[in-house]
Amino acid sequence: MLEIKNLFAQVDDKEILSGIDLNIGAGEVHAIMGPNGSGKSTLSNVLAGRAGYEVTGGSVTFEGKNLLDMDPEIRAREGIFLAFQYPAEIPGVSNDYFLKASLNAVRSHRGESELDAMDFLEISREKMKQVEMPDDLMSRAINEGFSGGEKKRNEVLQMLLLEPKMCVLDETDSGLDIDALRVVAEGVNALRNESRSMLVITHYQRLLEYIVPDKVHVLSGGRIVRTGGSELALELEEKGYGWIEAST
Amino acid sequence: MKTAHRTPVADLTKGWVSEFQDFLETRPTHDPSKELRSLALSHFQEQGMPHRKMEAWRNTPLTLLEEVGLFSTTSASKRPKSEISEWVEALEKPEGDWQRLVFIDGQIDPGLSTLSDAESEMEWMAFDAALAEGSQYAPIQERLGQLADLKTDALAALNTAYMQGGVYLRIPASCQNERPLHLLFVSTGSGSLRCPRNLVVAESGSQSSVLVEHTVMDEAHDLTNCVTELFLAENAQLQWTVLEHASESAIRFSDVHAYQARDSRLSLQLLTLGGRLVRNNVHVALADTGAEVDLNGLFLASTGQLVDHHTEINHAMPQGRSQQLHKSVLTGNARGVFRGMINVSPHAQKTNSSLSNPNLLLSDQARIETQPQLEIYADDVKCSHGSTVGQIDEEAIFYLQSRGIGRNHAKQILTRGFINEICDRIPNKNVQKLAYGLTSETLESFVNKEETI
Repeated sequence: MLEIKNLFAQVDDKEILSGIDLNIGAGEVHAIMGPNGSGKSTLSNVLAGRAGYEVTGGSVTFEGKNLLDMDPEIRAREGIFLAFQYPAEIPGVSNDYFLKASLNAVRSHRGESELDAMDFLEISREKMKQVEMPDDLMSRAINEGFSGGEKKRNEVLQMLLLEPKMCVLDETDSGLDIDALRVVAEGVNALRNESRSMLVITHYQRLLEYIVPDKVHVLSGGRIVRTGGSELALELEEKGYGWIEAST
Repeated sequence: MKTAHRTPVADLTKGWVSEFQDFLETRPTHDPSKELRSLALSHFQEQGMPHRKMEAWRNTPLTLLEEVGLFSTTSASKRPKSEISEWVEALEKPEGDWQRLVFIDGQIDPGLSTLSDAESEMEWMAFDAALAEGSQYAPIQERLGQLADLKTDALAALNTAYMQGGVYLRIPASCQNERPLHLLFVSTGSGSLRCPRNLVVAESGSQSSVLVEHTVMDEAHDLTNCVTELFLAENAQLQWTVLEHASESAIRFSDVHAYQARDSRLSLQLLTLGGRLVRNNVHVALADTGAEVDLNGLFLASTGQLVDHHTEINHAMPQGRSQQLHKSVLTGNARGVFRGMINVSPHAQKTNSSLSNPNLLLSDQARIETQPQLEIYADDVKCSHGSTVGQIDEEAIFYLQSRGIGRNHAKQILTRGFINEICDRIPNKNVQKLAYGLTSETLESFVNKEETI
């Protein structure tokens, strides 16, 4: 599904990613762990197409297409979804208006009919229940005044609505208490199936107790320095990142 | 606009002075306001039109008037009445049950107006009729010109000399906002100077809601110079929303003055969605303890337009509250000016006052001059003011893009969101809906015209 080959990227002329190779097959869940500054967030931003992240080498292929050639909105319509670590707050634009515009943009790209207000309401209600989100968050401005947990629920709600092929979760566990973490993880797990892939980026092992990955990669100095099964996360938790860095 | 001939502003002033006698002759013989008009004209003549050497007009050159030429004070509409009626009928109106007064080039049109009969609790008279009937003049005379100063405000003086159209409105205590009032001013493009005048007396404990709409047929070149005086007695509540959607060639000056007695509450919204040159002044005097005002403003302007909003709030007595949010969206080479002055006098302890002025520039050529000012002479107050000028937040654009929304659509949604914050503050839901629609139309016209969003 997603094939990253020898990827180099820089921010403000500083090289952050120094040759990443990663293959994620359909239905697989991969986790990327690594210390602060190892390039985790840069990788997710490069995948989503954020301005200011310059790819200087290598390639990213998504379902056989060159992902790096696509504008961010095309990537989203093609089925890439980045759940942000810090989702933007947007005053004046209501959450439901935004979600409907988003869903319809993706639907029409897929050749599906656009939803009217009633259909959207029905679908969004059902998904909101899944992430235990109170109704009033729909009519409020996007993420404005939302708690940390509410923002992350909103991210997962969008994921549930858009049903992407490839979900990238960027430190989705940061700033969450244990209850919010459970709700968010359940939402993500509900989306797991044999065709949908996931890339879970996290600093801590905690999230991976809820979303158990097929593979764990350790990112350090802009490269993947070790790959293993889900047990690697536990080992990291126990020994710390110094253990990996010392051994490479 | 291209015209070979330019009429200097000084000549415009002379023209309006020399036409005055002719104008007076068109008034009813017993018009008791003639003396006041003559006095006002002499004040206007002394002062002349405002100019850029005056601090308050520094960024707003009236030389733009020269391109349009002389605005006659007496010319009648060249359009057939049926065309005007059809146009007004087709105009989108706020939903719900309204009393409506329609003024065509300053004259009330009873056929287009819809007035409730017995149930109406607001007492109104078209300003002209009130002036023409000597018996009605006493209560008007008592208030008229108390707030708009002829000696220091040349445009108020010009308005007073030529005042025609508008409403004298008395809102008795028994009025509890049963039915809102819609004042619709239509200019038909006769190249004229129009001076509507409104005088509103909201009596003690009354509650009412008024929508004032100024609009212009097609590309009409008219100059409107409107003065409104609002008196809120103790505990009165008044919602006053002004919607201006003039053509791109119309010129408009407006003064709104409010005087608020103890515990009165004014909610005032001012939305300017068009016009070649627009200057709006709002002066609010919180004259007694516990008076409150919510004042929100918005203007949208594109290439060739200059819009200027000035507000001034005077906190004279304790426990007053004023809240202001003014926004602008400018594109093309539009020019915007905002100046907001808050004055807190030594007696006005426990004043709570805020003024925020965010501005959104959609192009590199658009400019805004903004100047929020605070003068505080009391020591126990809570006051804040600030302004920002910026483009659409790239973070926000990216967030919407990352959810599949195209970049241009994202910019439109975010601009819409920026404007929504003002529309949301319009207390009457039907007016709010109308404002959403009109601002959306204006934004769409920006997209077509400028390709900047």
